[in-house]
Amino acid sequence: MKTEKNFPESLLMAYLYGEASELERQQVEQYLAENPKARAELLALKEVRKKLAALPDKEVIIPALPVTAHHRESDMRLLKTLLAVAASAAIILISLWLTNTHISWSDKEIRISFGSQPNSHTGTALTHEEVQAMIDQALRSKRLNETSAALTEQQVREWIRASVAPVTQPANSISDEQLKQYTSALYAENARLMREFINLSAREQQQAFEEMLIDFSAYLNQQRQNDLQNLYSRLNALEQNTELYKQETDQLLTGIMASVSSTPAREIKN
Amino acid sequence: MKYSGQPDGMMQTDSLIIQACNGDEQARSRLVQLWYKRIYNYCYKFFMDHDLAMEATQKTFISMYRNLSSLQDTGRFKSWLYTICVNQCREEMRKHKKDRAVSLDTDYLYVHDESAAWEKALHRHENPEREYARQELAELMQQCLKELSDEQREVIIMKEYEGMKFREIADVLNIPENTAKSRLYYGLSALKKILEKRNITIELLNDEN
Repeated sequence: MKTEKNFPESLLMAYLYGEASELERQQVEQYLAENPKARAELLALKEVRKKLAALPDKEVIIPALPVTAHHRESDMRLLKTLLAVAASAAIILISLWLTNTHISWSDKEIRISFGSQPNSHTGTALTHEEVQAMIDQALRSKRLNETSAALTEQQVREWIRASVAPVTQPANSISDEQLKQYTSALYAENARLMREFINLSAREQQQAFEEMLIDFSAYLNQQRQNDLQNLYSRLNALEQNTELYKQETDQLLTGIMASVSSTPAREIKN
Repeated sequence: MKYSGQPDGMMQTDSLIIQACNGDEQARSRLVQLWYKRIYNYCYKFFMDHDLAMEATQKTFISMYRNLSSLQDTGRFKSWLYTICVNQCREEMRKHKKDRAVSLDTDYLYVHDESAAWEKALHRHENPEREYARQELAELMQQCLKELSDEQREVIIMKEYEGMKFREIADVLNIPENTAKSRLYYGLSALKKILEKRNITIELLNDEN
């Protein structure tokens, strides 16, 4: 079923849904009056619409939209990041404060120290940084030389050794002396401690050994006593048994003897 | 018309939209509350599937939140919202068709729905038999609508259930008004043929109704 070519379906739709203008409405109605086929079709479409109306709206529970959550989350994320940065900065600052850290810049070094700030330039106590700075300087001069006059590596090394020597030598001699002193002190202390320990342990061992001997003798005595008691009781029991046995045999013997002595007399009589 | 397509008083919505466009968070969530059921029902009738409809509805409102401030003409809000919704539904349908080898045309999704219809019918005070017949018809209409092409279904839903004028539908779909009208005509005609195929059941139900 189709509308005829000359009649646009859009007009029919506008009519069906009551959106046609007065003029359009008249046009459609005239067309319908002339075409029973079109009338039937419109009726059928109305029927379809009626059936469509049977499909109701579904109730729905509005869930918490992730939109608002998302917004807040991103805000929270930014806040969290900022908080994290602030917290780590605070931790670093607090740890610097707790360890009493000093950081100082001079023209050739950055000095980071914990605890009290070291006095900067005593001839004997050179810090690692200073040595490093010297090496750096040496290397820099080496590089400079390489570009201009080309010093040999050997020469540079000697130069470095020469510049490092005054630093290391006094440190070495002092530490040697101190080491000797320290080791001897340590040795003496160790010897003393060892002696004391051996003495104490010998005393304690002796004591323990004596106690053990006493205990052992007591144990032996007790054992002997027990054995003797056992032996006595056994002997007594044996003695009693033999006594009883002797008595029984005596009785038996007298019984036999009596019967023997009486029987021959009767036999003789008979 | 049963489905007004307008959730609340027009004036209230208008001022709300202006407030929401200016970034009023409360106005925005009120807008969501007002339009959620309409958008969900559009999506539901488009997919005939609750989960897909929820997905598309959520995405529609997320998009609304993001782009509301760029809405120039607040009077176009309804068309604008439906345009987002239509696009979300199309995208979701494309994804769904790509993701699953099983077509939407299979009835496996609606097997449990029938028992639900029974149960719902039993709780009503009306004549349960008639109520059940009505449910059955609704069920059948769902299946028939599914057989239409997406384009035809869109127009039918907007016209029949969202109560939109042809001018609005044309605006939403960005097509001439006459195209919208003829698309609806072909949609209804196709639906009529589909219904005729199932004629016996329909007639039976219709008599009872």
